[in-house]
Amino acid sequence: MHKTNVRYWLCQLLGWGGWTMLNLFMTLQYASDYLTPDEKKIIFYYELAFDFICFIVATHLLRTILKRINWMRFPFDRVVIMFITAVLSTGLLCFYGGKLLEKATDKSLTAFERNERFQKAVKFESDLNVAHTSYYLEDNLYKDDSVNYKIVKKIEKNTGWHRGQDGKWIYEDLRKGRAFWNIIFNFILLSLWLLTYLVWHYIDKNRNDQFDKLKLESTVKELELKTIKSHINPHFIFNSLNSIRALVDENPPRARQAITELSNILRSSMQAEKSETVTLEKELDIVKDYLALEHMRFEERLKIEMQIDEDTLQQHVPPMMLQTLVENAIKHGISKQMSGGVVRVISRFQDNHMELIVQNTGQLSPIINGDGFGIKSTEDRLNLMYQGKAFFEIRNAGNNMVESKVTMPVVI
Amino acid sequence: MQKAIIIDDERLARNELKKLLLDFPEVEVIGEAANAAEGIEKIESLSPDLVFLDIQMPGKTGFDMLTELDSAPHVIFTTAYDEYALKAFEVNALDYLMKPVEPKRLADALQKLQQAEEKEMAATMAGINRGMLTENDQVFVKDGERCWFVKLGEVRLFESVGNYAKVFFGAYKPLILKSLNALEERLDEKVFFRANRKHIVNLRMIEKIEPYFNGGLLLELFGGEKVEVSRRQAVKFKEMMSL
Repeated sequence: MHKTNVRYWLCQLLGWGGWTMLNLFMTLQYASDYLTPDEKKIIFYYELAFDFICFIVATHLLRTILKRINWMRFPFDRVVIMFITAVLSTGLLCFYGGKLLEKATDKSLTAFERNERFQKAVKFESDLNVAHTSYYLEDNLYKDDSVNYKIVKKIEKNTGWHRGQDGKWIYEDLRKGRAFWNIIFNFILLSLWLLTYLVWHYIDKNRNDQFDKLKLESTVKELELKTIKSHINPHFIFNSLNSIRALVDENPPRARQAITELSNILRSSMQAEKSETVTLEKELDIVKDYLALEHMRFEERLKIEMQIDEDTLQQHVPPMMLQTLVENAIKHGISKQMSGGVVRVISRFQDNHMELIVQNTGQLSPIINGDGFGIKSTEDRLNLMYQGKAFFEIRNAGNNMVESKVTMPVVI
Repeated sequence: MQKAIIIDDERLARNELKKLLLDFPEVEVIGEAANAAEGIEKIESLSPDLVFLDIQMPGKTGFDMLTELDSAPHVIFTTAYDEYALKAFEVNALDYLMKPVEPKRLADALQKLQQAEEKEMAATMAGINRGMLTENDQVFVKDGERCWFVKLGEVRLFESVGNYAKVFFGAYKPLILKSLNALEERLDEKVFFRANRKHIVNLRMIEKIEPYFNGGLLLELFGGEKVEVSRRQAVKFKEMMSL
């Protein structure tokens, strides 16, 4: 907030200051004879200062109001109406404010000029030797050979002053339209100011919106990744605990081992949130523990086969990904088979890629094909981590066998 | 003494439950099954008072198994963690237990069972031959994701829909895979009356009786359903009612 205020005042001072300086420079450069004598020049400086103050006060007032009503929320047509109203009112405010200041300080170019011209008119009269005649009376004006008429016209044309029938001087400004054009000019200046202000804020808002959107997107991605990683099936945890409980009497050493295996899985599922990748070796440790626990539950119904290429063990893989695939192989495959089946885990190099394959007895259900949370989240994870360089597929592989395969680039 | 069987696909889970039940001498485990097919067989041959039933099993789920039984026994569901399955159970399941089972929860569930039994005993004392379903017998009904145990006394109407029968109770009318003729054979004719080819009505649920064309009758049930009684059945109906 503080920073925006500093920037705003800097813009205000530079803008209006620059404008005043330009005005001063142009006048001094191209109309310097207009500004003689020096007294007139000083009054001109005063007027410039008045304008400067008026513009700043008026625009600052406008800004305060705009902020107060929160103009950004209005639709475009309302903004247009607001724009016109604002320009008209501030333009008039500047004009009459300036006039008021001139009057209050008695530093008015118009008044000075009026006075200057009056002197000139009197001088004309005396130069023409009509100062003490009543040449201006209507009776005299047309009776003669219109010499008097010419004199009146000449003085009036040059100074704006002429004498009324009673002999008193009357003034008519030679440049009557000046005030009108001044106001129009104010309107143009203030439209420029307001236009700059509005456009600036539109752009600023737009940029902020985009920034917010990007920030939101990245947060969503991060969250997604987290939920995918920590997705360990509670059904599995409680079933394992139940089996362990049964084993406590039946086979105490196996029960103790099972507790260690379950601890390992829980621990690594928590740690998975911290690291982006793990070595396949570590991932396989979890998978082996997991399969050991499932074997404890399913007993002879689950057969496990591992075909691991030793060289792939140091490759980095997304944590808990192979684990998820194995989990799904059990959940959708083995646990649905009355007589159980086999789960085969394969890791190997193939055509410059690394392949992780999980095969299980069963048949891919055509209904959930490709839309399940596990499949979708695995694809999303690979996309997020390898930007389209890794692939996932799941298909029926021949005789009552389902195969899910992850193909990843090899990292050396 | 309650005769119970345990249906669960995991041997260790069955063992664990058997071990827990040793502390309850009023329950005797007379059989085990590892899947739904075996389960049906055991229930029909041993006719247990109580079944401990796992929901997730290979082949058919516990729910599917129950829908295949003519009359559902008392069931205590056992499951590890299955929000989804438990949600199906808003309506009158006897109880369910979470594995690993807490002994205290098991005691509560068995107590609940005892109370239900006692209530039934009083009602069933009227004496009925086995094989006939009474008002107190319950059927297990599954419609999509939702399940109910329905006491036959709560059913207003059975309507034939092809091979299925639509069961009207409360605000629901799910389908069960049973023909109307098969149902009629097993239902107590003092309570359930075959009004026409397509309908069996619960006589206790009739709100209004009006004469209809051709000497038939029109019954209006408490749920607002209107059932026509064919002429032939109307004679029988009047006969029964005049008793």
